[in-house]
Amino acid sequence: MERRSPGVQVNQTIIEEAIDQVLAGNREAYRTIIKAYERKIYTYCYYILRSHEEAEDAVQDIFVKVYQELRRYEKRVSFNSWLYKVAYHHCLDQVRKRKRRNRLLSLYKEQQPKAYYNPNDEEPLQKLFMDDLTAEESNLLILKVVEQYSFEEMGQIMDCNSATLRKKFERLRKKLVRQRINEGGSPHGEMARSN
Amino acid sequence: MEKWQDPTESQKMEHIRQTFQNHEMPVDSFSDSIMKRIGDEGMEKRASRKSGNKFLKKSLVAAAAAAVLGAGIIGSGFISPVMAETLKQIPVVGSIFKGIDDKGLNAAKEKGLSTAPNQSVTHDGVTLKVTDAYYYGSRLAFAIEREGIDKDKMMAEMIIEPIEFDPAVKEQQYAKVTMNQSEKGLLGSAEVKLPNGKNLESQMSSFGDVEGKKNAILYDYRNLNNVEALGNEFELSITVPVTQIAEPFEIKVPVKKVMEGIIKLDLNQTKEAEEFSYTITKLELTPATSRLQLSEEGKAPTVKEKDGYTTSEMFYEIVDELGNAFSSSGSFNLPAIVYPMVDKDFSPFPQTPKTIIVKPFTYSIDESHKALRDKEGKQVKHYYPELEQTIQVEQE
Repeated sequence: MERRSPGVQVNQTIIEEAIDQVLAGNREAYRTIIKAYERKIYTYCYYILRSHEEAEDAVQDIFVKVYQELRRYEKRVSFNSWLYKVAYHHCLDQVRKRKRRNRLLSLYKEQQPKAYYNPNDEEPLQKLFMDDLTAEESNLLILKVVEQYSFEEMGQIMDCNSATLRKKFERLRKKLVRQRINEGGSPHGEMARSN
Repeated sequence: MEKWQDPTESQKMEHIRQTFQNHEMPVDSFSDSIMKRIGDEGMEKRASRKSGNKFLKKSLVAAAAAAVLGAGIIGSGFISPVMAETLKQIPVVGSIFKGIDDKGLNAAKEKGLSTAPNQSVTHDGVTLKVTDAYYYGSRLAFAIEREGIDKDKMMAEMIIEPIEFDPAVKEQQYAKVTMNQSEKGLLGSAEVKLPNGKNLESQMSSFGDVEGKKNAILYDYRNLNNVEALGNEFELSITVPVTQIAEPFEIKVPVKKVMEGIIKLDLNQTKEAEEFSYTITKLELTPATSRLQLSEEGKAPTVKEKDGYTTSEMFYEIVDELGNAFSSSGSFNLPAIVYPMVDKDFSPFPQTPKTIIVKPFTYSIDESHKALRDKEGKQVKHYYPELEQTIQVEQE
């Protein structure tokens, strides 16, 4: 199966070479890696964390972490999925921390699902990510639909069972189909409901 | 992957992809702030700072894997960019050095400067033989051939294991490097011991399969540190681990220093134009390699060749009075960055030159660091005549 890669087309040879250079002590070579992947990782974080500010912090934290752990990267897996693995677990941590922080506010937050953004700024599909999907569902959708990973690869990224992921994704797919029907002729139906 | 059930659904998925792919970042790049943080925290620093801390995460990745390997390039494939670049072309007969199109090693072989120790060791049906060795004081290279197992691949996959950090241990801890043992007969990183019992120290070491040549591997050590005192002839003890064979292969290899045709110049000549300047500090010419050391200062020049392209870091070409020209190695194009220390390897000149002109140049690179190419597919170089310098090479 042909795999699409979002954002900048990443030349794997250059990336592998950059990794070798960083490991050999040329820190500046890491810039190449950042530039090749930052946009997709930023976007990923944004759709999971649903906040520009948090995504900005997260993308920087993730690249610092990846640099510090670069010696653990094994070339048997693609760098792309390794990066996603670090990003996934980082975002998960952030979501957990946020939950702890906001435990008392959770009720309030449930009633204010759009606390992090202004719906008028976003196009309908971004709204889908923001309003209608949980962070976990956004994650599934990005890895499966955008990155076109297999469930096995997703299982490796998320450290979980691929069969479970398959089931979860199937449910998500049905939800998206239903959602399309609900949308009907009114693309703003969802927004009207939540406002 | 399952099929989407109706076209509208697949359209929707496509739309999701595009939404994701078209998502803009609030800034052009986070690379400056990330690089700054890395500079502050660093791999190494982080490890040592952590060592004073009692509340530590386990499985800290060691900073010093590179030190274990002699600050080498770890990983698959070849080796120095000079070799990598030239390697592809050659079908091979005879000795491995002849096979590799490392012009330097070839020249050494042709001039009879490399030795053919032909020392071999056999364990468990696998024989390793050192077929060529080359040593000139600052570079050591040797080639090993394998018998008993016949396959293209010779180099084992190296796995760097994270360290289980133990705060009770005061000494610096190194990451353990192991080989992937799933296939028999693959070679790992060699341990090279000098007659005084110490390990060979080099700033750059690498090893890798020889493309186009089965059952052959080359080990290459450059910018050696601790061999000066050993004289011109001595015996190395090389220990090579081999996958699925418990006993290491220990091979004694006599080496003889090449004395002919080696020129070393300590220099201090600077050229400046606009905001950029560079100072040449060292030139070394040997039959196996030319090496240029310099330092850059100021702001790297940029030039606009085409929309969507920016200027790469500075590269250097060296040209002798006969017009033999060699570019500094590497296809690895970084954006215009100034390096306080540049140490470049070149293919050797066929004869010792009288003068060498150093010509700085840049490539034009796109977002993914691919260089702009002309109609013939050659990378477009932009030269800076105002920055050229001539080095007088004294003839003995």
